[in-house]
Amino acid sequence: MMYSDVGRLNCNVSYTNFATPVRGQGSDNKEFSSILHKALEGAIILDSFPKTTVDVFALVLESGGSDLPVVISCASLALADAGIMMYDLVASVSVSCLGKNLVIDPISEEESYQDGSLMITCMPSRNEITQLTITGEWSTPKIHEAMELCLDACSKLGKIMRSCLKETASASQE
Amino acid sequence: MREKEELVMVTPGEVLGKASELKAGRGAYVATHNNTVYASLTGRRSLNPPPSDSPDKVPPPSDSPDKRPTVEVTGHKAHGAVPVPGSIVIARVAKVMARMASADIMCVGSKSVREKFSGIIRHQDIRATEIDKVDMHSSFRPGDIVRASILSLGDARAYYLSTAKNELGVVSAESTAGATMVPISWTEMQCPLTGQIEQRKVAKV
Repeated sequence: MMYSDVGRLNCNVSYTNFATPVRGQGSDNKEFSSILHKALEGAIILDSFPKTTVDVFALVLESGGSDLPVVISCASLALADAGIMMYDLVASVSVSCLGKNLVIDPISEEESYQDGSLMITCMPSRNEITQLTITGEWSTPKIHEAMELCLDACSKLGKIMRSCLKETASASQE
Repeated sequence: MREKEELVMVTPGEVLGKASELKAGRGAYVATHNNTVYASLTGRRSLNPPPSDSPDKVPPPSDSPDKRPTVEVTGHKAHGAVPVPGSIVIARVAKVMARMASADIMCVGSKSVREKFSGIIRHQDIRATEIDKVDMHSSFRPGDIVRASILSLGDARAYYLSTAKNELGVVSAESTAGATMVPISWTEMQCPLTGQIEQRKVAKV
């Protein structure tokens, strides 16, 4: 085990057997762990805990589509609740392009018909994006529109996340 | 005095104020690009010193020209204690070797730890004087309870501890006969049952 001057982050995303309609392991989840790692490492203040590793485990019990943004947002909430020092919360939203329409937070069925998907992970209060993933077929104006949609949704999600954290924190204080 | 207790809960990324008016304490940080102080923890915000209304109150850190109050965020969850360089810990000596003793850290300050931490006391850190003439076995024995201070984070396996002060050292030890020994000097403890004197690096209580 190597000594490290800064903290380390270890992420793991796994699916249960019964998470998807078809029994068995999901297709992309080997990459999800490293995507989650890249999304979170920019937001955590690693210098604040030398010689320490933070483990983030995500177990998807029921996959309804748009899994990764949900995993990322929940992981960031868990870290904030646990008291890990962070620059900001991390909110994540994905958008699917279906022909001419843009759909936020697609369900599995919509995802299977999509022409392209765009996922943004950002820190709402600091207005910084930690990760951007685009797959499929996109035209430039569509990308602009999708990004505006995502960023707006992220800031709204950020407000909800903060109010949840404050509610839990105040409840636990009493 | 106005006792307005501010129960303001903040979350990571929330703006606490401008860097020109506030200093960032624990749980807060300064973003250099826009000189703003943000919170980095979920919890209660507190200002030290509290903003006072009377003009003739003396500000506490009077020697620095920086009179900004420090803003801190205290986490809402109680954490298990973690050894931090400079803190005083209570540890139980596990092994005594030729050049070091290894100890299990049991309490940090007055809180007990939730998980085991390993510490090492090197022979040059046992006492402050004549450190080249130290005999490990006349300072510690396995099973002794010592009060030590954390020197540094050490390496991957253990923290580095030091007992090189008068008030640090063996606090409680068992004699070979099995009774708790009574300290009689800086370097000796006596067994109440047999009267035998054993050598230890005793802490001044």
